Amino acid sequence: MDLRVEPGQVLGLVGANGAGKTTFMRTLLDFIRPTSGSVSVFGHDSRRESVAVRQVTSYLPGELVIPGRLTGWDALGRFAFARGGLDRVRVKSLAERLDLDLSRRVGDLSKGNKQKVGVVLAFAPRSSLLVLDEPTSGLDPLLQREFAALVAEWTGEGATVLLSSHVMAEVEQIAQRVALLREGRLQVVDDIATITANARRRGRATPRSPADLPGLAAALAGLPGVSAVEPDDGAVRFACAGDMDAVVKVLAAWPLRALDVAHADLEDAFFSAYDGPSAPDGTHA
Amino acid sequence: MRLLGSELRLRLVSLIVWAISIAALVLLIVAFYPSVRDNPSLNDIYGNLTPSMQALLGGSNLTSPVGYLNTQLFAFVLPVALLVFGLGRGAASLAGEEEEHTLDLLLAQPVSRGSAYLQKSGAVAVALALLACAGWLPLVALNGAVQFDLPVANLTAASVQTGLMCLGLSLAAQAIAAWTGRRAFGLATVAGYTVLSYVIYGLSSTVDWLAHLRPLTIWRWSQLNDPLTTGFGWQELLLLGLVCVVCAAAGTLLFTRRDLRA
Repeated sequence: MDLRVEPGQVLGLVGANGAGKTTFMRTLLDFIRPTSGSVSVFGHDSRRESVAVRQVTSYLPGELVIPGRLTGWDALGRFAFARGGLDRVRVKSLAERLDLDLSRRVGDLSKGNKQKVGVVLAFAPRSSLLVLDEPTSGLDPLLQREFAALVAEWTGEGATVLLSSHVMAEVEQIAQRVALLREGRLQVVDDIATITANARRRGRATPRSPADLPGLAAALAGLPGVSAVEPDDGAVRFACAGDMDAVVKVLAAWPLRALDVAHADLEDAFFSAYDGPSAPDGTHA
Repeated sequence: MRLLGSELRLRLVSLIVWAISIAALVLLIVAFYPSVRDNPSLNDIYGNLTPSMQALLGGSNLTSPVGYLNTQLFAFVLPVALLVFGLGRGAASLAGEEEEHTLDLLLAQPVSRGSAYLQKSGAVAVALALLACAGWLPLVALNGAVQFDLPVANLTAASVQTGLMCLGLSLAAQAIAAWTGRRAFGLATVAGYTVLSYVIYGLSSTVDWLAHLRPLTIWRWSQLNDPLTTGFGWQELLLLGLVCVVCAAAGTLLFTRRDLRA
């Protein structure tokens, strides 16, 4: 697969469990060797120049394990010994932002706090590339927002971030580009804006008079890009891919009591990519 | 060399406890010598054993300084103590981290796998050297007091050759464990070889056909020249050193060439 990420960008790696997100990340770091082909990071071959790659790369494993008897500070010494002298002021400010006490033993920390130690480990060196596997697992929503802010600051300073997640909303919030992986193959790599533009929006129109229901449904079903038209308790549900203009113009001709259109999210785009854009029955196999 | 330092720092307390225990063990054995020395009838106990048993236990002369130290310390107790530590540490050094899922985080740093491997080997070597020292100190300190009156060079030679043998086996355990990614596998194969090697070495003096297998046992190469009597054996040192180098090199090669488990 060919994947190109511009400096200062966040690329979200999305896919079901076993799609190859972690495998891809671990190949970048030379933990796994490609059976064919090659990987290069900032022009360095991931195999022959793996030290040079890791020199500029921070990694947060998806399955983060830090020996319980170590304190946060010990963990930094243990897992960042080759990073040169870490800037203690920077480490402290990171810990403060995440509300983490680095002097406590990792074994005594909750899952979320343990994850914060991993986040500090990844952000403490000034790496140009951050490879983060499910970075916010275990973090509460407030800290997820703080994490998103951290990523934004880093990319603002020119760092590139590769982040995997199965939480679409998170990728949508943090990343500018997204790569969908399925069975080790790249399905889509595109800007989030483009993907969401082509994604299906789900709508629900409620006519004032129930008698209008069949006519409304028929009119919607006849439009290009509209699918999954079905009655729902005095209203019509539908899904619309791409441009909504035609739908809006048709709906304008009917007296409506309510119209709800959901924000097109990555989850939809994700399923579109998996099922093909026009699954007629609107269900996901 | 930062990983080597980190390794030792991480296990400093355990290492100190091991060193004190080994020093205490040797001290105890040494302190018992005067009562054994003055009781020649003890030789009868060993003398009544079959020659094979005598060979396994390291000799039959319990009351001479060399006989006492060989049977009570260098033939069994000291190597076993060093091996329990060394094989465990060696096998755990990379395979253990892999099994505990901490290896990814460790190797995500800008350090080559080969260097990480060798620094881990180095840490095992330094630790074993410290423990061998801890066993050597009471010997030398009480050498005159309990009337061993052996040359310090000979005591040192016996300690060094025993330590080097244990290091070779520990590095073999590290190599096999790192190659397979399984700590238990490295530990079991090398421990199995060590026990077999010990038995063959012991019995080979009385069982003819086993004598041919002697050169295959590492015990032969650590004891061949009877270092307590003759001092350093250069052939032995060279061979044991070679075992260490070959194990470290083979382990590095095998470990750097495979995929790591997450």
